[in-house]
Amino acid sequence: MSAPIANPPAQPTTPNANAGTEPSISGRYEGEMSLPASGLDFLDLRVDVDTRYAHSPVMKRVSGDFYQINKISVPGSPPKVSRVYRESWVVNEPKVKKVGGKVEVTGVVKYWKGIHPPTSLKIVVEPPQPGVTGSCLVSFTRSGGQSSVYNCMRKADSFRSLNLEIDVCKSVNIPPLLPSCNTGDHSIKPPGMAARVLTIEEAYREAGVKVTIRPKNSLIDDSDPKFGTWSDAELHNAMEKYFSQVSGPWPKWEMWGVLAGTYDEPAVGGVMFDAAAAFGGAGKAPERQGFAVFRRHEWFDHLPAGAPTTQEEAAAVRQFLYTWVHEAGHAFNFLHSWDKNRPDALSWMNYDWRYDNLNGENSFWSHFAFRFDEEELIHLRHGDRSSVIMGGDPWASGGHLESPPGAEYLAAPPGAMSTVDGEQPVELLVRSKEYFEFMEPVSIELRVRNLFPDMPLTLDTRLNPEYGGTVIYIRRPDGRIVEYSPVMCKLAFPSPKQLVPLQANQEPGPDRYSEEILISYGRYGFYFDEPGEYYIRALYQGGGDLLIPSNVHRLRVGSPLTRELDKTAQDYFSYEVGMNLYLEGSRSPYLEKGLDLLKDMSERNKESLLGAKLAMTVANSYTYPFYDLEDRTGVPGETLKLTKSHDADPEAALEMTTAAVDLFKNTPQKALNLSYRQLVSQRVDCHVALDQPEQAIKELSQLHQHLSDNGANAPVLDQISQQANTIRDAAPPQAGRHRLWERVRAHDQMASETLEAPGSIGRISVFPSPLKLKKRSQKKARTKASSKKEAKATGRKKVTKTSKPAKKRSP
Amino acid sequence: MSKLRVDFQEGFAADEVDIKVNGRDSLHKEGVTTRRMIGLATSSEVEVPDGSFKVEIEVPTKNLSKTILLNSPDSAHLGVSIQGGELKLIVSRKPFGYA
Repeated sequence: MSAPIANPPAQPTTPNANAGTEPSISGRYEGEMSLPASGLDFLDLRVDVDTRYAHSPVMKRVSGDFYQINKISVPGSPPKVSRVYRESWVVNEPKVKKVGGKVEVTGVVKYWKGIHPPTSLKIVVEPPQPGVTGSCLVSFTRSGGQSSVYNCMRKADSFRSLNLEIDVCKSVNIPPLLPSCNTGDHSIKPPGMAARVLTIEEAYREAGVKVTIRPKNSLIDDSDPKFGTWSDAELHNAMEKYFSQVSGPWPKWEMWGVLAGTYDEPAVGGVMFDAAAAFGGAGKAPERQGFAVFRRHEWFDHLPAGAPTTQEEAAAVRQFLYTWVHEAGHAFNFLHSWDKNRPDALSWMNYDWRYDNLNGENSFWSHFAFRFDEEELIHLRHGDRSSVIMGGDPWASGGHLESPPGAEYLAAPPGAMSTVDGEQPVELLVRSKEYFEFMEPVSIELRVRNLFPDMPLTLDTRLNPEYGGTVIYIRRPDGRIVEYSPVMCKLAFPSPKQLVPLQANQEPGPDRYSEEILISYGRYGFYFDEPGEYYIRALYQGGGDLLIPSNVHRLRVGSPLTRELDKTAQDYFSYEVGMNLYLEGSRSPYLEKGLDLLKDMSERNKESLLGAKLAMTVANSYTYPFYDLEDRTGVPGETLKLTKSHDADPEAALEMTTAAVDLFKNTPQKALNLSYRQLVSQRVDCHVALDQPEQAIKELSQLHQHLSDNGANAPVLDQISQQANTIRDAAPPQAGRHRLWERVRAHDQMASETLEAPGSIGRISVFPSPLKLKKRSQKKARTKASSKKEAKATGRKKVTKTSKPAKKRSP
Repeated sequence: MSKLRVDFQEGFAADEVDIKVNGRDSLHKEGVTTRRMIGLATSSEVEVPDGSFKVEIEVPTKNLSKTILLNSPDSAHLGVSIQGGELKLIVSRKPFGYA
């Protein structure tokens, strides 16, 4: 059901203050690269050097965004073309001169992020003529002389454009639903200010943004008599339910507003609820997608359905407009004026009573020209795209400062700010739990998902940066953006997986693939060694020129919970510990000190996730034998012999991780699903090595139940069921020398092969159906024979219960 | 008796706050944290006598305090912020609004 949203007819003022003299060249241009290669890149250009609209100050800037063009060939159809945003730049105070009938704009390019050679910009603009769209030739020349050229056409007088969807609660579905304010109606106004009618669209058009209010909207039934006021969480939930654009990849130029009744705190007339919980928002990324205006706030008690007839009504109309524009401003990543050290700003983002407190009663409305201040206009028009666009950088992370305070000088690696623009064929999602204890190994989930509605995609699922197909960027608490560099680089066959488009009513799963990646330690040491807030973004480089950026994921690393932990940090942040984390346990004598520390910490912190994860790391090194080289003798040309220095000790590995299993079982967090799965994979291998299939199946059953309760998708549950069937049928997976995720991958592979094998039942049993240990005894002999054969082939003995080494063994 | 609405606005972070009216404990709150989205931490009403009265505001967690003399009903709303390491007060006849 639609509420009758109808925009009052705007009465725009003179669109171009230069009208009658010379046509404005300012506005938005776009076009593809023509040199040195054609069609590879795309430029979104904003020229702001002369008056483009009335009541719209010139900011004397040129800015732009670079995009990479992705083209995917589709047999029998035109190629699917999409764009990936790469980076933004700005030219401050460009020089503008007329050359013949053209206008030449030149300046020095400043990139918001990353290290770039000095680059100059030259734009030659053909001003628009009656019937002829303006165009320009844009050249970027690096200090070495290399140039790239773009042919651009003028698209609009606004610098950016977005859609705004507005939904309305039934309880307040009374006119006016949207503001329309004549700035001359109230007697308190700036002297000499020309009266004009402002709506949301008009206010933002003056600011340089074309806002289009979507014609279709929903009516939210809030008539339950027990329902009183809105919380942030309820507002966010309403957005997820009603915002037609909420699905699909973000960021995008889409915004949602809701006209609601009353907020939990009745003094609040509007709120941009979509921010981190630490700022008082709903705490769910992506942020800055939506806001609410509360019609039952006393500000709007005298809001008339038509034109105001009293000063009270005029004030209410003015406040209604202010609230809509102000809240939308937050979604553009504006902080309040005083939070930017500009308490005297005459801006939509200030509070009238705060300004008046500094400058005298009624001074705000006596001077406010119904616009953003200049710094805000620069952000809105020319700011780093990811800090402006909805769902981009988290609220207040840029706050139109574009970098955290004090970090403006810090460089970011190229590509760090890449984000999706428009619909992409593949989604790359980064997620993890939001809070990590100090020193807790930080691992993230990377998920690729086919977004095509009708075409399967085969993607390489080796998502670990070690294989080179994925790059991960981390913004540290100090603002420095670093590229995560793995210690090792691996060359391997791709691991292709076909991701099938999700059909209507189909359970998610076949369309996606997830992998857990540990990113605590890399080539340059520890990446999460300070308490504070971190932001993570990944780039997936698929086949050809496909480039898929992820969302920006935020996580927090806590402070040491005890003095003892704080002291341990000295030893923890060391090469030996880091390499143990990276290798997921090593019994090399060179890393012994680190493994000992991790073991000690895991025992002392076994009630926490820190202890659980460290136990998994240590235990992993006990699940397989370790081979060492004999010491050098110093004889020239000597050959060092590889000998086993440690047997596998699966029993010890199981003992070490018993507490971890209990912890994961009792921690119902979806973000821990992959970690728990890794742990069970590890323990299943140990049980199998110890000839304890019942235990292995029991743990898989418990995992199945836990994941099922925590929202895991059906294919994952099926894989676990199938793995249990494999064990039940006495064809157990061999304990491999795997790192944790590779172990899960190996198990999945084995389960899939069993499923696809000729003669297989082709059906997956699902827990909690009892998994009987049938025919185990008959098949045992066969299994042992198979194991012996394998041991002979590999030159290693399979660890069995009888050959199990002592629990404690010196390296 | 009248009511004084006290809004704890900017600069609070897990703070403890105490309000005394004419020397009598009137309000105690813990964990007061500013929500930067709206510029408000929390809002409370305390009873005050008609006519003039003394309000003492204390933030023990930041070792800050300030005293102000107010008149009822002219001073129905008190805004308290922490700025530059000190307490800043705004007095208003009208309620503060937030957005």
